Amino acid sequence: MAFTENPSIGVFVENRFGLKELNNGALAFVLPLKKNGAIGMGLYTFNQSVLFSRQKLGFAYALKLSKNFSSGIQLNVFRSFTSEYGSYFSICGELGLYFKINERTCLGVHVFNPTSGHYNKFTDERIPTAMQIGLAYQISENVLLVGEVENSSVFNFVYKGGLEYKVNEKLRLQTGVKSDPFITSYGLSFSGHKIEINISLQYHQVLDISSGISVDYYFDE
Amino acid sequence: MLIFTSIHKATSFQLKIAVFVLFGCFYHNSYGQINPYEHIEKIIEKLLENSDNEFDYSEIQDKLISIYEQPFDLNSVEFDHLQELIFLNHQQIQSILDYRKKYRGFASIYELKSIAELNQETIEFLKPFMMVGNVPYKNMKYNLSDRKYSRNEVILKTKTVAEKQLGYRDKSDPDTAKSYYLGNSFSYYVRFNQSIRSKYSLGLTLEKDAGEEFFRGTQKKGFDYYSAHFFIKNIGPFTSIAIGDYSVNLGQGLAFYSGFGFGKSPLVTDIYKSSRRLSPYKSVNESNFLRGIAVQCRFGKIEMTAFYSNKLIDGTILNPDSFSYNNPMITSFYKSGYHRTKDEMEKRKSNREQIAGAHLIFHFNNLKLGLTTITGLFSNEFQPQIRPYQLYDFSGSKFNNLAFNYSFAYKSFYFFGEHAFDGNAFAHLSGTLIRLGEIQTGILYRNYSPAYTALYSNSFRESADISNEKGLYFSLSFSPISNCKLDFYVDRFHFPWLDYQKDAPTHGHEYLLDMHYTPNHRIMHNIRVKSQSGEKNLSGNESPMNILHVENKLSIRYDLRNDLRGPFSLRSRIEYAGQSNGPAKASKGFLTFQDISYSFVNWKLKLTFRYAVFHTDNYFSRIYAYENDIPLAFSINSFYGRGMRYYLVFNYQINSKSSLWIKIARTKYADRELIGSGLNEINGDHKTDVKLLLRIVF
Repeated sequence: MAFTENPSIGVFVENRFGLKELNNGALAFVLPLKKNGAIGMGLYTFNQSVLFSRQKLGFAYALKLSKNFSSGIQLNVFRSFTSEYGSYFSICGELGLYFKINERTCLGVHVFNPTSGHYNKFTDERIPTAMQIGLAYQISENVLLVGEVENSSVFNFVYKGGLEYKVNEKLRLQTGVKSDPFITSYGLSFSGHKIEINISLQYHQVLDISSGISVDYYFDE
Repeated sequence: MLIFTSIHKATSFQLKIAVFVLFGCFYHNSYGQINPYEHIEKIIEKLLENSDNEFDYSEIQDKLISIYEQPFDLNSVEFDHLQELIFLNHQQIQSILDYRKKYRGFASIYELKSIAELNQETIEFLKPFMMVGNVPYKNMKYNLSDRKYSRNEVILKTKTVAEKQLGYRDKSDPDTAKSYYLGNSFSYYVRFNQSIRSKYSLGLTLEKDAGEEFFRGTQKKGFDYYSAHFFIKNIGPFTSIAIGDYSVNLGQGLAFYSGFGFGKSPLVTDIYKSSRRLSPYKSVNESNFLRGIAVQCRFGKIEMTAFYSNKLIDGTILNPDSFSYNNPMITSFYKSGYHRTKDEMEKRKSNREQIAGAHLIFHFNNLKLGLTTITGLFSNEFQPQIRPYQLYDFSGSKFNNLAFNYSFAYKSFYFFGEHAFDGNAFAHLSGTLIRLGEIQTGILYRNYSPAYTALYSNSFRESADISNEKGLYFSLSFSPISNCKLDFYVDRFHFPWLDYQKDAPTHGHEYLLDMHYTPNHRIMHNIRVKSQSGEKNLSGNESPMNILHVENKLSIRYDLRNDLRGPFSLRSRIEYAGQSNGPAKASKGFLTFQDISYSFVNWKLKLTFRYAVFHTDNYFSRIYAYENDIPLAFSINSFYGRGMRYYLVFNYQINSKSSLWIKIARTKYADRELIGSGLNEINGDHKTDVKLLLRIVF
């Protein structure tokens, strides 16, 4: 986000495993502040059933700290609804940093919910804390290899690996694998003059297919 | 001054001077050189990152700090001085001296680069401890009033745990009446030291641990621990004299070694012990030092060290309620130094220990022979509990050790060893360091009888003491390609008698493979694989007989460091640990962390921040991680269960004389509501440590 030059807006929708209750959606907006970094706002919704739903409203700020190093923070407000307790609010943070090690290699680190809060005071359910460390390596002009690990206070340790192939300036193809649960995924990105479209398909061994699409639009300055 | 010095040297040095001037400028402008502690922390971390026990490392740090602030002159430094730089091995020291002899001195410290034995990392470690001056070290005249040479240091330190621990509960509560901490939850530490290089040192150290009383009740004298020393070199017929508290390290440590010694470390070929034989003691480890007088002198090829120590030590008393005050029986040593409860107070200074020792060294060209004799006497007799594995624990009130050690250099071989006898059983150690071109190898064999006892020994070992162990160690260190360094060791060991949680003689092995890749001087990738295998009682076994099973441990670490050009430096780590023991369920764990440090150059402020997440199945798959800390407080913490750890170290250089450090660290668990055990238990899911240190040098 710190490297964004123009304001942009994006929407994302996803369906998990073909169940209409498991629709996720997001709407996000990024505004660069010239030399003072960039601010962003996003609204995310998860699970739209009558029994349970959750929304997240995030406010983000990103700053380029040196030529090849940037970091960002985000504050999230969750609204969770369960048929048992009604709706309640909780707050958590997110931290990220991005470092370009050299021309070909980048490091990314992301921490979700660093202070480990609870969703509410009724249940013992904690908002999971998760730390991701990823490396991206540009093998050749057209091929990018990425690897990531995710260590969480709640879930099992996860490895992810992915490959992106740039067909031409406008079209990129992606494929990836993830452990625990084992998921393979495929994606396609189209970059236009002001618009970027990403389409993804994830295949879970047991629960079958999830699909998603996102559209980002970049405004003129 | 440097240029003047070198004018009457050979002209070939002129180029080197130019190089020095050029690099010297860069060096002093670089970021992150706020204080010597930062540099020393890097070195100690390198030595310790493999360590999985807590030890007071401040002793090493102290020695290095005083050298850093008053560096050695490369053109006059002697073998013994270089030995104090613990990261240098014997061959490296010799190579520096050989180079100096061959080229008639150094014109700049950058000439170190042309010594094959020193790799890039070692040179980086070494540089700040060295300077090139024009007055030979020996001829330097010191005057206490001359501020240039004398250094006065005052350190004030305190630390506490922010959450209330069980031991500090309300004392009127009937539940607590039995056991509680007598004092408050803060520790206080005060130290004063005056020194002139390593030639003269006068110091006083005072400490109260958290939970100990202060100026009342059981501690009417205030602090729980007082230590003072006076140390001087080259006076009259003596090469050194120590009065008060001091430490003594002799030979390879089989008979006597009261200082800190590394065993297996990622410096895989550092297996030869070459510490300074006699040094002043400034640390706060309350059991591992000597109190009395020690002298060292040299007559031609013979060097002699003699010492006498007399101090009260802690010990657990057998049946304290019914003991006769004249001669209580002691069941075991009590070495933690904590005197926080009534029980712990009973152990305090319950026994008088007297030790006398002498050490002779004969120097013949490449050969050095040493002879050690130690005798010790306790006022109260030891009568250990008789469990089978403790059969050979120390008992009685006397001990004697006699040892012979040698070292011999031949071409690129270096042989060393020690053979020790305690009047009853033997301990042997012999090793070789070999340098074959770019490859360095080390081989070490040890055989310590189960019955061998040496109470102040510290040598190469796998088990806790120098006894009950046989083993062969082999290590290899080389650079397969430039920018890449490979270190490897394998160690096989056998314990011929029982040990803690080992109800039969056992075998085991361990190996370590450590790879460093430094594509440029700002980035370092490190992959480390360590595997351990040893027999152990099966945990959770309910039959009356314990069954031994092979326990395997494997840990794999990836570490990436970026010292960015500029104020930032970053470090990321991913570590896996796996453990299995016979039919018991295998366990695994993961740790990830990210460090960011930032130096505000104009404000002379440095902040270091870490965020870590750990997730392990249980205690068996725990993961150790070294942490940045305030000076004189090194921490290696182990993490198990699920949770996170974060800390901030704040270092501010107030002015040219004083610096301030603050560390705030918190561990927060996602899987428990009670932390710790016994009197340290905390009712909550987080534990916060707060430490503060002020150092003034004038």
